[in-house]
Amino acid sequence: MEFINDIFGNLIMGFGVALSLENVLYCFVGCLLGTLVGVLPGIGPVAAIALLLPTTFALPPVGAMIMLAGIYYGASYGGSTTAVLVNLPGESSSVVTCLDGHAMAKNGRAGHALAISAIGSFFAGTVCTLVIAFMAPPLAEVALKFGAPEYFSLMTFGLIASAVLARGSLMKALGMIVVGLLFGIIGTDVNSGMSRFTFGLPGLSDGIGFVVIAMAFFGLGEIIKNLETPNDQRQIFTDKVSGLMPRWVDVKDSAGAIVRGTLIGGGFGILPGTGPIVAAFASYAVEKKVARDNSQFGKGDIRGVAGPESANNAAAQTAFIPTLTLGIPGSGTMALMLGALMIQGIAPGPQVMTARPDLFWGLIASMWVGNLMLVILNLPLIGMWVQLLKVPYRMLFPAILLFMCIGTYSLNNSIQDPLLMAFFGIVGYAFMKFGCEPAPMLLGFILGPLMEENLRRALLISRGDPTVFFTRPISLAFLILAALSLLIVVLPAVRKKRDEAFQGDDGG
Amino acid sequence: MGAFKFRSYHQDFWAGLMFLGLGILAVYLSKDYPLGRAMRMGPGYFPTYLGYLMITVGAIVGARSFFTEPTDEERTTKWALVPLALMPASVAMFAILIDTMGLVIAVASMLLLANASVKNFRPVELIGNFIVLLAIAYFVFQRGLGVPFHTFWEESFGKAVGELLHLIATPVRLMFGS
Amino acid sequence: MDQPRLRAIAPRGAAAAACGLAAALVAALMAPAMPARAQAPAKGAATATAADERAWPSRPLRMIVASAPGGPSDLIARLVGPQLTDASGQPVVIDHRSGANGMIAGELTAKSEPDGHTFLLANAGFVINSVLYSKVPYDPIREFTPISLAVSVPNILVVHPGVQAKTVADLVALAKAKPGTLAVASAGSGSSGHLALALFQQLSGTEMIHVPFKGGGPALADVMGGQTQAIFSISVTSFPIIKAGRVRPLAVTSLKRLAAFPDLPTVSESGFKGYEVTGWFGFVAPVKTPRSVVQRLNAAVVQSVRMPELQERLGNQGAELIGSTPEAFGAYLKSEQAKWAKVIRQAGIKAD
Repeated sequence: MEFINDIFGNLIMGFGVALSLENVLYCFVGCLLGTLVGVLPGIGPVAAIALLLPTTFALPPVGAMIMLAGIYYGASYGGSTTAVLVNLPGESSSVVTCLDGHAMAKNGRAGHALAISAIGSFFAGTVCTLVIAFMAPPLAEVALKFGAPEYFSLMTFGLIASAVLARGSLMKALGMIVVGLLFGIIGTDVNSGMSRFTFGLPGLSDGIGFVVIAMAFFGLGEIIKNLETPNDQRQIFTDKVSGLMPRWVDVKDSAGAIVRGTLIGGGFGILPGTGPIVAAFASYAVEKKVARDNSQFGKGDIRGVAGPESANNAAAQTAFIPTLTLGIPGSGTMALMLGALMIQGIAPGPQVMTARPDLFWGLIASMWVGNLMLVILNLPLIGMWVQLLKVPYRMLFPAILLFMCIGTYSLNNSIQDPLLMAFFGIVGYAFMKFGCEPAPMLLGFILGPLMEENLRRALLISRGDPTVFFTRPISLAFLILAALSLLIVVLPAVRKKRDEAFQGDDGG
Repeated sequence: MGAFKFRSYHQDFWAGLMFLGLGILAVYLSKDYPLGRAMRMGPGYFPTYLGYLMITVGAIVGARSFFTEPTDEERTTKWALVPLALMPASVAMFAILIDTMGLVIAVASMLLLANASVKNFRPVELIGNFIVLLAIAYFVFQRGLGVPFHTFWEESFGKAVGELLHLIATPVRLMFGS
Repeated sequence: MDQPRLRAIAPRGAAAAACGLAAALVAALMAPAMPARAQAPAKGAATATAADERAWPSRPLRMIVASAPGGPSDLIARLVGPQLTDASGQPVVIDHRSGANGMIAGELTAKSEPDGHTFLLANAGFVINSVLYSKVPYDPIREFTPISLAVSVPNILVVHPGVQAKTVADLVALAKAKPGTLAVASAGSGSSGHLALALFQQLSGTEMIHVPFKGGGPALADVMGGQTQAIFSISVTSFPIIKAGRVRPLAVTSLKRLAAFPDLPTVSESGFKGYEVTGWFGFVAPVKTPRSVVQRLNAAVVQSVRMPELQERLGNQGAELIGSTPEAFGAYLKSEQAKWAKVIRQAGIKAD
């Protein structure tokens, strides 16, 4: 009981810090800046935070962290907005949002998609803020239990589950996963330090950036496809825009998805590196499986937005756990946050919680304030975003193109990334024309290198003993889950049902 | 199930071909990487076997096109060759020009190329779009977010142009004996 | 603008005029296609005149950083940047060029105009790359002029608390009792932690498993979780974790004990005399940068390194703030290169 009281005391102190006028202001400015920059096509959250980081240097440490957290939420939400409006995922977890979110936008329901995403994110954010407050240290211990075998099994599960994402042929989805795995190999092999598939280009030695591939396959490919129809007949977005705010039935439909997404996201979020993306894909797969009628998935089902968006926001939240309690950044964005802490003269690490309780609890409280602010800020903005879709496409597409150029350029301040994007845009269009979907490819692209790395690392540490994958309980659990998913996808009886669900898209 | 027949209008035929090609490329490129053993994999193990897997998948997907008639969705459709050439070209144009010629020229060239795909050329609209986008690129990205663009050409390029003009002028001046 | 070099190309006579026009045409065709930076070295000789020296700094300074935002390089860049601004009166633009282990940043700096407006914040990889990789697009000694070694960051050898070793000698004994079982993590192949391990194995005659990670954070987390047993982790990253008791420090890899951690012995005094592996961050400029400009940059760096802010942010975390002379830094770079060439050859570490 005393433990609970302590935490409430701390939370009250935290809110005292977060709700001071200046900190609320920092939080608001952060959310606003983050949203505005994050919504620019081509600028994902990592880029947005990196670019906005210097604006926080002049602030006191607590204010700086609060503003950065605001930027982080704003940028993540802004990224989802771009995914829905123009089909451009700014970060890995928005890939899933593109699937149904953009389909909804085309059906004139962009407002609904954006609103449900804001509502889902707020719910997920609220729950996960409490999770962090009450359970951060023990959850951090769980994260530490994940060694190479666990990560490998998790990736295996993630990849197999992603086959469920496919709308069309299962075999082609599998093919696209392998394509992604192959693209992921480009770069320096972590285990041996050897460059693979780099064609002697030094710029490829770090691999191809996710943003480059995602922009190419989703953004560029989509633009070319949209330009297939001549001007006068082209209508990408329907004129019939149904209201901005979701109908009650939408909220009712999505409630389950939001709760499940929050649980899934909160769980995966504590795992450094892969949390949000696996969470978003897993949530989508789960929604598609539990839905009684899943025929609309991929064509604009609101549950396909609500679930993954809640999941990725929940994961974005719990990703703070290893960062704050251990000082180990789980992602590029978290590394930037830690860098900002160090610039403020605070050594990130386990002692932050005890040495700077005002900072720690103030940040946690401001997470919730930030989430609230995001809803307040974004619900009115939705109307504005949706108006953007009324700009004639002949004027919209050059703008998107330019933002993608600048966005990819700014990743490394290098012209190589836009050039690569141009090349992969052609490849992406070809795959699209042959009925191959990009989403499974992107998952393979992200998980593939991690899977290989951890498989080889696990075998290295165990000195070639493959039983480690089965003797360690967490690893075994994921492998069993993977096997079950495989059964669901492959078993002929289930397979038949699956084909019905796809309305016979797949004749084979 | 259709009869065994070559169907180039079946998407799966081409998808299979692409998978097959990528698989062969992967196996070929991996030939110099140490393979290792399953329990002690070298850097070549994963790419090589992924390549074989890709070939297998490609063969299966491609084979399907020989046995089944495509559904409407699986039928190949016409490629939009003009945008397919122009969109990547305009991105590449931006990339090639941005470091040397600066933002203004890069954005203008990019927009011109991208707009070439649009029928009914509207100059006023294009110029308006150019001004708005340039303003965003300059104020938001270059000034606001600190992306290191040159507004116009790089100083050294400006010097190069100066030298070039000088060079061109020299023989003329010499001829007229000034 | 007087250009004797160019005028020489077009001597008197009509025939030569045609030549000149042809040359102009060729130049005109080449100019847009060829990045200006590729032409810079040739032009450098002509432009680095006395007039330019006096003009320094005539425009914003560009500090190229060899890593992505968020790491220790970024931290140092952002802390030193404002000090350089104060000292030079020109804003400092921090230009992150991560990629290829810093080789992209190195190449870019080597080929930029040597007028003192562009310089590189290099790290240990700057020199290590030159002996680790078969193809390196720059020569760290011949193509650069050293400015100053700013910060030196030793590694700390830490073990998971469950490992039965309280000292370096314990660890060696443990490794010898069961050769090839201790798993030692590192931030990556060719990282300073990897080389520290390689040298340690060579000197102690032990055999351990090297487990590379992608970055120091995940590697340290793996040791905290007990999946791997030990790591040579850079002091700035491991300090807070050590203080929280999550890992046990055995020794520091610098020659002298750390001022911030006087109880911790060095590896050198634990029976491996002369053992020293430190990561570092220092400033270098393209080789033809005028001497006087290098001196002024050096003064600015030295001054900024002495600021109490840096001491507080880095010194207390186990980093050593140095601010050496260009000559001393040059000698250091050469000795580092020779040392790592030997270790890398002996250990058979390769990267292509």
